[in-house]
Amino acid sequence: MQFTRTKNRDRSERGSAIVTVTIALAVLLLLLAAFLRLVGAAHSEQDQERDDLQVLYVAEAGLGEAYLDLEEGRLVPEEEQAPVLGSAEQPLELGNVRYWVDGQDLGTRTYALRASALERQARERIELVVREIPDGFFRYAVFGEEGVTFDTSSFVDSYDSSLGVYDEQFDKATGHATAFGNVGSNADILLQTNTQIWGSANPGPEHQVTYSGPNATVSGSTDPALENVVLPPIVVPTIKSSGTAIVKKKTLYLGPGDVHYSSVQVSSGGTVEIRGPARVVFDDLLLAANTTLKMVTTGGPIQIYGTGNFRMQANSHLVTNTIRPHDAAIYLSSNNVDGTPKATVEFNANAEYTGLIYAPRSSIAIHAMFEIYGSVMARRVALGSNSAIHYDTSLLFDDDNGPPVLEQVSWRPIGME
Amino acid sequence: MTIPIATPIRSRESGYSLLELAMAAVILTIMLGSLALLGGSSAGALSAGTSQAELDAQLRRTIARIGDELLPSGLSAITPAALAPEGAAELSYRKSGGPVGGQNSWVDPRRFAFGYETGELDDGLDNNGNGLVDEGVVTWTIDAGLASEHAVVLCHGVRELDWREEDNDLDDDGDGLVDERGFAVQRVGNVLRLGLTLERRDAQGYSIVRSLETTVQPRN
Repeated sequence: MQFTRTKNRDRSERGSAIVTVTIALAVLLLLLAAFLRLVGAAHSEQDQERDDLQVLYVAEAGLGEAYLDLEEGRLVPEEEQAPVLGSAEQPLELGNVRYWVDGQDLGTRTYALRASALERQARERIELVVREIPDGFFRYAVFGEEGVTFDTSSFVDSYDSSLGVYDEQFDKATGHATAFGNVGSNADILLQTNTQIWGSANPGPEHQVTYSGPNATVSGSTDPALENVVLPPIVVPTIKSSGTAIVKKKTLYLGPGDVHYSSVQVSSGGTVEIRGPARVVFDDLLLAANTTLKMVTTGGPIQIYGTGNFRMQANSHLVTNTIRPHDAAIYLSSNNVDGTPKATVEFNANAEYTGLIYAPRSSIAIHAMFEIYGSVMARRVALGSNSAIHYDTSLLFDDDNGPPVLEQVSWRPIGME
Repeated sequence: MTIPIATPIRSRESGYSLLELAMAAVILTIMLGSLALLGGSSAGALSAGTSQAELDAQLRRTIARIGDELLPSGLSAITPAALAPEGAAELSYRKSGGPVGGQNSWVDPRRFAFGYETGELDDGLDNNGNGLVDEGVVTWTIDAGLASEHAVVLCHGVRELDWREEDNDLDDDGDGLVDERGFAVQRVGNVLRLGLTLERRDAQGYSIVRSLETTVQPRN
């Protein structure tokens, strides 16, 4: 039998290295944990920032897509906000980001596109408002190249004939329809007591709006225009003259087609009825009291050209049977300011005239009994006391002159609903 | 057959010699010293890293906030023009309030501006004793100039000058701006270039300077 000795170490010999190493490791682990936490927090923040940026870009892409559709006529927003690309329930997806676009017609060919995008915690909703750039010639309710004057209590507002008649758009609470009845001039604009312009009044460059009485209202801007507006001369169609006509207690029918009279004198009880489509040239027109000029546009538009005297005397009547001012136009190439000889131009008829008046060489005075639904552009315009012009905003746009061109009105982030 | 027998060894082998103890003490000192050095340098590095990370985060948040505010603004609604070589350390702007009557509308005016920190003067000295000289803040003012005006400090520790600039009436960093502030705005075409430089002292008293630039194109 053999015996071997095993050595039981004394406690005092046992090493303290394990304690030291443990402490060291603990310290290092704590530092590591703190560092990882720091890095993790920074990483999370950067992730969030990246997501925020990505949803913004995707929302922008959605807006871009909807804008293109709108411009090319594939998208027609409704009056109430409604999805036009995807929807909240069935969103589209781009790079793991869900998005959709809502559209709304704000009126006067102004449209709001609202894009929403979502990814994890990130969300963005932005609104782009665009409008069709007005390309129609008659962009003003009233324009006077050498000035516009408003006598007491004269009134300008606007409506949209494509939405119905003026009365349906008139707001009794506010006392006017829409507020796009803009007034313009290359010179000053003078407003007297109680004038109401529901729109802007923009005088010419370096000119001003002058208030010569209290309580005059301009709902929009009164800033001077940046540049002058040129009123091109009228090109009178060349039509063989039918001579002269004296109309008394009977009706003279003109049109459809082209008609030219060197003189038409209508005396009491007489009527001139023009049937569209027609172009009628009067070198001299006189509508005396108790006469009527009818513009029947059911068959097509009517253009009246006045090259000399153009007189609608008091108690004469001008009748239009349309709600679209595009259908009836009076173009005066006459010059009643400094012409030789000086022509006489009068609009003293009793009328609710739905149409256009364009007289680049004449001064036009509109009286209270001659209410206009359309636009007046002339060398000078004077609105008499209690007169009223209701501008049709559909005149802003010329739909026959190529596709619409849009421009941005505003861009802004809005809250996610 | 071998039978182990536990036998206490208490003879000449027991106890440590002086030499052994000395060696053990030296080794222990070296180990603890190394540990302390390691811990200290790690803590220092962590502190510096933390300070840098905090400054970076503050920079990012401030610049992002300013960018978010200016994005729905428009160049026509931003003053001054902030063109080179002056740029601007104070910018008034208005954001889009959406369309009204077919036209864009603007909310009440707002402003971003560099200003000196409380207790700090423009004298080349550390007046408030925080280790930074002539440092400032970026203040965001809502309803600027109106009765409802109120201001918020977006960030502290903004250097008086951009980190690459010296106060010598020269464009030291070649960015087109002369002696621009730590918060500077420059308009280049239709774009606004925003620059922000922040500074702070870490636990060891070392200066940490971080700078961030971004560009914003106002949309309206």
